[in-house]
Amino acid sequence: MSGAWNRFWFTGFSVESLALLRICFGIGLLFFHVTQFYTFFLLDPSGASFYFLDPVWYFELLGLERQIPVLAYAGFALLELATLGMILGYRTRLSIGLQILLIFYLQGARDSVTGDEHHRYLVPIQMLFFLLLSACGRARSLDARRSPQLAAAGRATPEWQASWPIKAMQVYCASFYFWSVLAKLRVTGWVWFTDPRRIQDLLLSRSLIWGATDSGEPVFNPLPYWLMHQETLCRIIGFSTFVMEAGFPLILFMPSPRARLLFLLGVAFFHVSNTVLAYVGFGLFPIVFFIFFDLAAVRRSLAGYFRRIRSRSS
Amino acid sequence: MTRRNVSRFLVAWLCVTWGAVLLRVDSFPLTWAPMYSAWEPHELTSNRVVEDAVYMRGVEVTRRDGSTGYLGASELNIARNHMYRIYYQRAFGQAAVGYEHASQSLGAFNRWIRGLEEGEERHDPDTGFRLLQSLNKTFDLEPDDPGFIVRVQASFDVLYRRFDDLSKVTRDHAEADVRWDERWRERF
Repeated sequence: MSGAWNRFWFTGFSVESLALLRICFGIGLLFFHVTQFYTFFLLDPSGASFYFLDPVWYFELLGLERQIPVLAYAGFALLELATLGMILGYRTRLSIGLQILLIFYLQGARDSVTGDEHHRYLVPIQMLFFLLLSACGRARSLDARRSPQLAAAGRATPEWQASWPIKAMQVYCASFYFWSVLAKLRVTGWVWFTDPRRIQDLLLSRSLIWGATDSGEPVFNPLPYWLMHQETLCRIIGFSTFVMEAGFPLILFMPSPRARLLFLLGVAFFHVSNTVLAYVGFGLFPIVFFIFFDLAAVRRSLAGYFRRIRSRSS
Repeated sequence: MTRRNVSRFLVAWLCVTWGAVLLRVDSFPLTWAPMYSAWEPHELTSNRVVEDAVYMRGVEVTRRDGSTGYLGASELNIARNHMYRIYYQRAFGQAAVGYEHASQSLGAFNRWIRGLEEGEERHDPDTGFRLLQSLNKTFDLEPDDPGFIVRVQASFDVLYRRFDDLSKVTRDHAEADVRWDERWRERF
């Protein structure tokens, strides 16, 4: 038991993998933040400060009652700077900690307006939390360049220390999908997956979100409306949602990177389709899937590939 | 941290995250991930007819001095999606979907920790009060001010379809009318 626990949590990654994860995930986050908070830029900085209709729990606790556009602008600019700091490894821990705080603030300011809490930052925030605890700033960072001791500590980082934060991120991400299937079963039951009307209902309501003609057809994006009429396809979508969400934890035990890539490409397709068909804002969510690969190994094989190409051409 | 301490930390972390799932906690950064989970089988489906210009112009408000007007996205200085929710959902008493998720189909254990009786599954977040409080406080209006908003109205058309014949559409009209209750003064 203890051996299996140790093998699972404490093997598989190096400090180089952690550092590359920090960089790749950070680059994805730069764009992800924009998709999540762009609406703040539509506000008038000198306009009214909206009094939150239903504040999130920590805003209620802190007594934050209003949306202040100027603070949101400043918070977003700082968030992007902190993300850049994380990518470059400049004061890495501080940059990551600052990002976490700013995401809490900006998400709270966004979701407190009418009380609808969104789930898009749950996995990214857990990843930032584990990066904060990890040694990800000890390699490929400005911090390591400036401090020879830190660079030496990076080289000496044992496998177990580099592995557990990435494994924890993987477990959280897999759990997140699995919880979705549990939630559907707990609240609605099997009928969520077996009855095509569930998907038809969603597609119909989302297709009409931009308005409807007198005959009840959508005025924009006819694709979800067309798909809603295809009962068999809707049945397949419902069933494949179950297979994807319930089967996601299996990725933790897939040894082949190609199999993992194939599975995750399928999940990414699911998210992009949801964005196009149902306006579910998880389109850039696949940036978290970097955690399922040893990026140091990916870098080595890419470098080898380009070396081979260069040597062939010369 | 030593390896042993990391193991202890991971066990505690797993207990917290999975504990939130068991208890149906949906408060960032914990969740039991209930996105789009709530649905009940039905034959008749209803959809509101969204009119961009109408909801962006905003809800119709009546003030204590009897004057009327509209409060929309630009006056409230909020994003389009929030105005959509205020107009089509909150004005009609529909709270954030999280309340429904947290209270629908609760198991015995979750009903017990929430102090709910068998069959009692709804939590009323008092959407009418919250809406009027929010609109008035945004403009620093107090209950005795002549400009205090005492009534909010909204309306839209609804399209109905039966799943067994999706081509047949019938239309209806829905109206919301939220009025200030003087008993709310103390809480305001």
